[in-house]
Amino acid sequence: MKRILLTIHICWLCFGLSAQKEVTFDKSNFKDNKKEFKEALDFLEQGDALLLPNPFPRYRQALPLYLKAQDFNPLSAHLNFRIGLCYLNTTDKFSALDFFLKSYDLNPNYTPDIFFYIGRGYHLRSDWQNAIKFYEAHKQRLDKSSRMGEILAVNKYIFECKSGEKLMAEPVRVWIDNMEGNINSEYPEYGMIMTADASEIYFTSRRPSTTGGGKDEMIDEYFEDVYTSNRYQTGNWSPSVNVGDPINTKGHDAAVALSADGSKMIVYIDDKGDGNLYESIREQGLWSKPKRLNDEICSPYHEASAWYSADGKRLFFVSERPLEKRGEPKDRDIYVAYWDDEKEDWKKITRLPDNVNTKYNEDGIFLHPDGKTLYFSSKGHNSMGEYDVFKTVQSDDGSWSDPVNMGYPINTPDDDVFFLVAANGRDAYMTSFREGGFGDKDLYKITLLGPPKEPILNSEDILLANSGVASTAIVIEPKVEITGSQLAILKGIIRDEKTKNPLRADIELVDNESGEVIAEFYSDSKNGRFLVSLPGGKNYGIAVKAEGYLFHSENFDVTQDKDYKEVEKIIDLKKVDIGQKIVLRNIFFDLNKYTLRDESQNELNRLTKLLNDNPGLKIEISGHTDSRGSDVYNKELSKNRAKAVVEYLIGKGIDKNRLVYAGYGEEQPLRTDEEIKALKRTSEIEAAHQENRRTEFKILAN
Amino acid sequence: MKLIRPIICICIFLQISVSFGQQDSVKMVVAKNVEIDSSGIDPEAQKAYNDGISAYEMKQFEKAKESFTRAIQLAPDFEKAYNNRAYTNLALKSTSEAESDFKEVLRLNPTADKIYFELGLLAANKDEPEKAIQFFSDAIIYNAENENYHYQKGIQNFKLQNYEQAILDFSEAINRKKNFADAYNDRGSAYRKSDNLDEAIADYKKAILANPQLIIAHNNLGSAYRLKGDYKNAILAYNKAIALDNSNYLIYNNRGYSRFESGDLDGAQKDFEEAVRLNKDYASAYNNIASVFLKKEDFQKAVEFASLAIAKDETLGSAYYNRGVAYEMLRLSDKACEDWLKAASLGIIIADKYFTSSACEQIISKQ
Repeated sequence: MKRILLTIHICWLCFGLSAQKEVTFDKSNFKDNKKEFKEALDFLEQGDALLLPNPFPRYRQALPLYLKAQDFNPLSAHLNFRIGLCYLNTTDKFSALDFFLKSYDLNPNYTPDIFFYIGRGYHLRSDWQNAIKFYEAHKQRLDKSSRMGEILAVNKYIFECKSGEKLMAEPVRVWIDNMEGNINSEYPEYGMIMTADASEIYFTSRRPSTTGGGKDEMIDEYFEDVYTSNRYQTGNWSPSVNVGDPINTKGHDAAVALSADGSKMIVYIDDKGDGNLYESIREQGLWSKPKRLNDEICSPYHEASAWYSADGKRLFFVSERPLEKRGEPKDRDIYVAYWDDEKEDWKKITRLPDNVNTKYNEDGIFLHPDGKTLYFSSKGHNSMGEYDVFKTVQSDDGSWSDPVNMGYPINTPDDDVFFLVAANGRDAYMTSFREGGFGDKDLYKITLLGPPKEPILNSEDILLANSGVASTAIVIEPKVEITGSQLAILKGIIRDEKTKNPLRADIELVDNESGEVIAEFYSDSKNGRFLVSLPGGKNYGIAVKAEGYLFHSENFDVTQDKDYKEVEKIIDLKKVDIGQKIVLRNIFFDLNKYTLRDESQNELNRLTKLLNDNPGLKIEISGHTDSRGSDVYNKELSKNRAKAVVEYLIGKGIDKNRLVYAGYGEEQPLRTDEEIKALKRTSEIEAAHQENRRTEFKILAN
Repeated sequence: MKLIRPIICICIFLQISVSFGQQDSVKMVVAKNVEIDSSGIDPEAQKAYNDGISAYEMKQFEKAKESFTRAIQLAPDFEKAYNNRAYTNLALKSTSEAESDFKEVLRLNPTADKIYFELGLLAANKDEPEKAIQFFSDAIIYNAENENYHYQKGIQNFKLQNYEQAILDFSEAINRKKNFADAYNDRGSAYRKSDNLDEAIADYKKAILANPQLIIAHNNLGSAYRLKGDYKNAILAYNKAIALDNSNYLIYNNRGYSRFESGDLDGAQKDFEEAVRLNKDYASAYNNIASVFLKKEDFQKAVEFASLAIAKDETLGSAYYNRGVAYEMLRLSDKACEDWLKAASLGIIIADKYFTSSACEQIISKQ
């Protein structure tokens, strides 16, 4: 009974169109225009021939031929079905439904699977209920004993529709903007990768400017090449350019990962179907010839997507390797490799747990610079169709949270992959095919707006019967929804103080609490550019060192901050000359005390090493306070703090005759009170005072 | 604004009346005697004193002051003359001279509780709550049964945000006058400030029971319910306040706030518009209309009304914040950042956070 009702409903849905009589491509139907018929038949047969190769039917090439045949005879069930099939397998998938419906309208018995295809058409148009109805109708036509696999596949589609319906009911707040003409073209652009601050990007495109200018005959499209753009100069994206040799070759070239600072890139190379990951290093602004990653990563099975952690200590990648050695290739899963400092290679390959990896494909991975949020695409979980973008967060204990669907409209019933989120947690980027684009797939910027920002209202009451004055109620501010990132980005340029020429300098990132060197980076010798990502939860000491120069230190306490912070600095390194002075930003004292805190160890050791390496150096250590507190007190405190540093150095064996200490209190501020008064934000004011509270050293003799 | 009472004038008037009521012998001298009475004060001084009272009653304050001054010159320890000159000085708005005279009274009569009270009121009017509390405490030492002494002390403690002590003071006042509506209201407000909304609501209700016409108690009851999230009862309380006074823009604004919180955006908008109609300079209501438009996602209108709020009160941080939110949704990031920066400088903490999380420093630096 249920089956009959469903069939009646389906018939009503289809024949709501108004049934038409089918006109097959038979010469008897076109006696009056034989020449045109022959021409159209030729197009049809050419199209059919292009769909024959298995497993790679050439839908894109067949479609224009079919459309020409359709111009002559739009009433063929076969042709309409084939056109629908081509659309379903190329970019403009939305158009498939109309042709499947027309095919069914013209001849309901043309193919027994027509309900499935109509279901797909509705599914891709997010018409969930109709899609489910046609999938159910298709299932009823399938024999349970012989076609169980297909039944399970249809059940998956039905589940996707139900997920889609739920997700679409609560869309996420985003702005989606095409990245415009300097990035996108009439040709496909996809697979974008970027530096942590999204100031430099690389992406794949199939353009006539591809290296060698050749086309892949299988799909009649240009070979993939890697292109790049940046916004260093104006803040807007520069016109994209082909990155050229050695990244791009005459074949397909695709970049899949970029380190946070843009110094390393991973490219995908087909390797005759094996599919492997290669790494290229940028030195003096030039990319090296990509070198295949080790065998532990590049297995005999297919590896594709990858991403570095911002500290460069982990590499996430996708592989089709089986769970057991020499097994059958599995679906694509996410793995992580750990950098072995001793062996200087990637080791300890680990598959992410089953709450992240599903029995369906995972792909398009991206680890956020916060080091714990992994974005990836999956056909499993509660995808609304094909690949959807998901997010999982790693806890301190190493476990991964259950992935969360990023929601509509980021996700659609079609493939949604290559989703990147900038360090600020607000700007994301993805590949998409949308109306109004430049043609084919384009790159889009997604602004993640998060929950609505609640307004602040004012109220007033007269609380005292006889005061007569309305008292404004304390403004109750809305809760802040933490949607951005809990990290800081320090970036900029390192130069020689006098010549202003860019310098290649080593950047050491230290966890001040543990004293451990967490990561090491370096600036690019060509432009001096550097970028360091500082995930939340730590007090970081940063030491910038270059041969023949005094070290430069920075401190970033990201333990309390909940907001994303991006600091851009030009760091001018100073030569070891008389009169030069540097601020020791990683020397810490307790409030109003002059006992050195343990977190100061690394900085003090650096200073000790500098004095040992330069035995002629005689220095003054000076203490400085902010302008809050009495002059006398500040001077005494700063003097005692400077003395504590000197005593430490003497304790480490430095000759006391090389050391002088002084306390200047608030006499030599880096930021004057007038400057601080002009600041508007409490956080800025506090930072300015913080800048003034410091320990310095000055070279007196060398 | 009807809620704001001319309390100072009333106080002075009452005190004069009370003074005269308590000084029958003087009054009698004024009325009948021109000879030296049994007090032993120079009769000329008494006459001058009586002249002063007559002039005062005829509101000839300068003349009254001259007479009282002459009485004091003739009899430097004439306590009542100092007392009456003090009130005359108050009538002439010469508060510092009044204060001196009251202190002379205390010199002559250190246990005069009402004089301490007067000095307390003068200190309170000069916004010196600590000093006022000291005078009220002294008054209580010499007369603990006067409910007003406790009540006024409570007000000063409230102003100093010593809510716990204020509650004790108001309770003392209530113990001495069971239907003291103002004290119930004020104790309710002290409870509210102490985040004890249940006690606040109970006291506002008692204030209304003692004086159903006490508009501010109805309003405050509404606000206490609103703070508790009980918007239905809040709106009922505001309705009663408006029924007593339909020209009070504060109450309309408050009812609008409750309606907003309960999700009735159209009702809220009507109330805020009524508040603005009653007081076209009321910045808070303009800002609240902007909030309604933010919720309705009419961001252009939100900008318009937040701007009006800012035009009326350029220190209203919430209006800058709200306008910033609207600008952001209109994709005018630079303007949003500028507004959040201003709001942050006016103490809106969340604006500082959004300024940071929206990369405003970079946006502004590109301008």
